Amino acid sequence: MDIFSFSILVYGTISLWLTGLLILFFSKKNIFFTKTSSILLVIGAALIGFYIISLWFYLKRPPIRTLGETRLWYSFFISTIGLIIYFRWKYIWILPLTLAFSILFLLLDFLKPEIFDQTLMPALQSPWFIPHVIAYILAYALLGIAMLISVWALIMFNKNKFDNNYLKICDNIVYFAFSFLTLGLLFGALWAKNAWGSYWTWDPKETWAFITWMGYLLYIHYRNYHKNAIKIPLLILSTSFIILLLCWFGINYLASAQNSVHVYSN
Amino acid sequence: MEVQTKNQLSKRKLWVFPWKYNESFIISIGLLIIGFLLELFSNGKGFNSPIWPANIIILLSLIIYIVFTNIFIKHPLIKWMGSVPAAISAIVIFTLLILLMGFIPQNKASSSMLINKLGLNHIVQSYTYVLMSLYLLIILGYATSKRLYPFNFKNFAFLLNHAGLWIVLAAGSLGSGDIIRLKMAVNEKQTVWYAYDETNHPYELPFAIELIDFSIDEYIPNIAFANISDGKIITNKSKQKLPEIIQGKTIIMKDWSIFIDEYYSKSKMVDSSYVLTTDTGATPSAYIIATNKKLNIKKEGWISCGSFKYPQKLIKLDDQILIGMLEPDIKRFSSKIKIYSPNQKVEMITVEVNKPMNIKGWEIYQSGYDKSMGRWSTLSIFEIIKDPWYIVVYIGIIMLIVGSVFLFWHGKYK
Repeated sequence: MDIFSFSILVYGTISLWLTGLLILFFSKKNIFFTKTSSILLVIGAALIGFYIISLWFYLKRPPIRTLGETRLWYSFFISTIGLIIYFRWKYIWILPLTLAFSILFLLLDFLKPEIFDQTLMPALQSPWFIPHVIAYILAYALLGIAMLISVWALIMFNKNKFDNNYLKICDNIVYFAFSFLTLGLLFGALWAKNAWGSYWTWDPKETWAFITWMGYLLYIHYRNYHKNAIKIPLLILSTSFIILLLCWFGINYLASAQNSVHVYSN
Repeated sequence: MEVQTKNQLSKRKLWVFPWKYNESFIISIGLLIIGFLLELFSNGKGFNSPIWPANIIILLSLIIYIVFTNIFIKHPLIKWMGSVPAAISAIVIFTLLILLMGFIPQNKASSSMLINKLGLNHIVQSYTYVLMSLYLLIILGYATSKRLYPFNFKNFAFLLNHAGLWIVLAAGSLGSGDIIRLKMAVNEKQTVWYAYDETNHPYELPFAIELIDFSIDEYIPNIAFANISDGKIITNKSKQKLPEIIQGKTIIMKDWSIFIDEYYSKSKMVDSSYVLTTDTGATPSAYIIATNKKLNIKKEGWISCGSFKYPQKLIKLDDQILIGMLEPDIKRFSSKIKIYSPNQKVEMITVEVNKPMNIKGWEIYQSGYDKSMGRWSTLSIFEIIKDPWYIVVYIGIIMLIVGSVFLFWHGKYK
């Protein structure tokens, strides 16, 4: 990879996004400023897309062979998805979250070009690896936000200052997150089928991922049926995040998970 | 509003339609208890998955029964089956069962007799699990069928998600009995048409496999420093990646600077030095020059991780530190194989991890090799799997993927 033009991309994209975000936050809903910031943000993402295409021509092959190259794609996808959510739903908070992820991946490639080819055991060398992990990371990040809002809403509820918008925001975040949670789970299943010949083996991590998934499934169904309930859906939401944390870190300490293929190595 | 409905709920007598949470949870918990009792009286033998054609008959009758009763029978019981309280009770109780699985180690005998007897150490093969899955399938089936007929395009995303999940669960569980999973070990230049199942019974395949070549690619080996006293590997910073051995590179470790003067990926030991070779059993080796400017010492010599043929070679830097080479990590292993079919057709294919090959409805997976020989293994181990239901499961998964994208796009509020 041509590091010189890559540095232009990294500096260019980061400064475009930061300027765009700053203008957006101080625009006070002025149409001219919000439009300017949108244009800057889109150009930032388009730069990554343009760089990928030029890299494709330069290498004379699609740039999907090394991990560093796939990280480029994910910088591009995450920022694009974030922008789509923003334009579709007008949620400003999604921008710093997704753009930060995107910048993180660009910086990883930029600061550590030697990990473009990181050692991966054969079972991990799958085109499903990155989509599987990214979908989960995005879902976890969104559900973390949902948990914070739900705890805040519970406190407000006890102070009799509850606003129904808290639950509406939670609903939308959970819907986004749940779609990513489902995609991550399905990509994992397709990967497992390709690597070991079975979609699902109830490996402890899979068991806990399933329980997490069911927790949020319960929230969605409960909210649909009890449109006026407040406390129970908020409690389901915060409890589900505890299960999610158990699934993410906790299983390393569970007796039932000593032989899991998913336990992180130290 | 809500207070009123709560009062109505508490006044309502049990088992009077429309059924709500009380009835739903009594039924779910009842099924759970029946499952545990069945498991207790069958002495924990577990449940065998139905096989073809029993599974397809069960599946089709389930679909026909659910769709038919949903369209033609206007009983409140049918309405309850597709209701949210029924769904929530099924989700909660099924999740509780899986939660037990999350805490109790599976597939090994527990010290508690109760856990063994109730089948809690093999939940997926237990009657409890089968009953609860069936209940979940029926409830999910009615919920889906309720929106399927009369059809409304507004329910498209709902249908993709619910029907997709139904197909994945139904085909995945009912189809599991038809999966044949075999192991085959082939030596280079050998042709084999038998594979073995889990109980080591031979199984004749509709094709034969000849192993032309088994090969392993390795990463560049890492250099490591170890404490002489406890043999533990030491690093510069905590959890830092160990440095790779690259010719001409200098590695700094505490007061030592180590220059890699020569690196051979394949070499053999002659007297006490190494020369390049392509012989079987060749090992990576490196000539290093280590200098300690503080103490003004210089040490040089060969290090090697060794192979099944040659021993490991380390250098003692001082009274505390050893320097050596770690065995390289495996990057990729693959088998070039010839497939012989009864119709005289010969195919040459390569299988590797994550890249299985489909031959006559059988999927050939690269599974392992002779670890004691490392990259010189001439034995390749394959897993050969027939899963006739995989297309059905894939259809369900694709429906769920599309449904998730819809969920993402529409969100909850417009």
